[in-house]
Amino acid sequence: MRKTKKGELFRSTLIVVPAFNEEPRVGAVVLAIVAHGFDVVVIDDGSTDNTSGEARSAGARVVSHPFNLGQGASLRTGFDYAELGEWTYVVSFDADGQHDLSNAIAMLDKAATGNYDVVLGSRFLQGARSNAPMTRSLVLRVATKAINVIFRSRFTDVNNGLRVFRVDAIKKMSLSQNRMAHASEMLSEIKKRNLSWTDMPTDITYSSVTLDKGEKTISGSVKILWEVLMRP
Amino acid sequence: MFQILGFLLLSPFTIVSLVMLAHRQRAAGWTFLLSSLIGYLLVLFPESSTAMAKALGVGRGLDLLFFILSVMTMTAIAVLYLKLNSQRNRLIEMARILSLLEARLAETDPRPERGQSSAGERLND
Repeated sequence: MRKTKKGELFRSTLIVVPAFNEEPRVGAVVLAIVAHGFDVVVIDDGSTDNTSGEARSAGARVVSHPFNLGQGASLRTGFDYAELGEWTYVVSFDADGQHDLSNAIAMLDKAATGNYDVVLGSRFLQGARSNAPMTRSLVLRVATKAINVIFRSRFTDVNNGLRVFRVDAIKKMSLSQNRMAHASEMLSEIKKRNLSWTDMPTDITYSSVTLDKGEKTISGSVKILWEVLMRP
Repeated sequence: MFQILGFLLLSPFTIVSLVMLAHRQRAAGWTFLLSSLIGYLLVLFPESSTAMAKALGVGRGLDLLFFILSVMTMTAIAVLYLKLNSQRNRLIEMARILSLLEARLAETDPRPERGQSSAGERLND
């Protein structure tokens, strides 16, 4: 019975994987997701390599942006895609293999059993394992504190890409950020729309490629702050 | 002689402002028109700029002109940045809609070539 319920939950979930030039990694990520019985859509954000082909071969649906629009825009495309289907939950999951699928499953289970609109992953809750460099951890902690002061909230990790949303909750949110500031915007919308949320510890495994591709810590933070301030 | 040269230099601004107003670009049109009118006054009464500068505590008339030009340039850059940003956001929305439509079409259309490449992939080829 429990297994059937889990199967139903998995079938009613779409995993959204934004990807930019992830040809070497996206196939393995998609294969692992598909093996669990999830539907997965890869949003190829204008990659110049064969990200789309690899994702398709591994069993993903693919939506290709004509050029690089940004991670926020990719997630919004994924959410729009979910709204067009009949899924109940959407999970945002990174294409570079830094997330652990078992964390996503646990978060999904919590969303379903606890009837939450949103479940956020956190690198800073007890039990979470992360090999983030010290500077990155420090900047993220400071950013989390700042966001909590601004939003009068109690989020524990403002920039974790692993999130579970109920599709109905996404429909209530008004998202417009195209680049990295989308993470803060999502938290602001969760607060503004009074969505029920919780967070769970998640493990993040950074590789040298992940760290090279990611935003440079300080300049990235300045860019995010600028995007938040210039929000229309 | 100086006054004729001044008028000649200012006249394109006046023409541009009138064209802008005719195209209903009111804010920019009026800004250009008022600026060029101030310019004509300064050409006709050059000593007035020094008087204005002294009244504002700037010093020389030339310094006042320099400050005004700096403020106008910075305002123009800010306005351009906002316009470009707004157009980029519109372009992104169009690109997202196109991608979604194309993906849905590929899922419903059995033709094999549909599912194999998208606008994005073709652009990058």
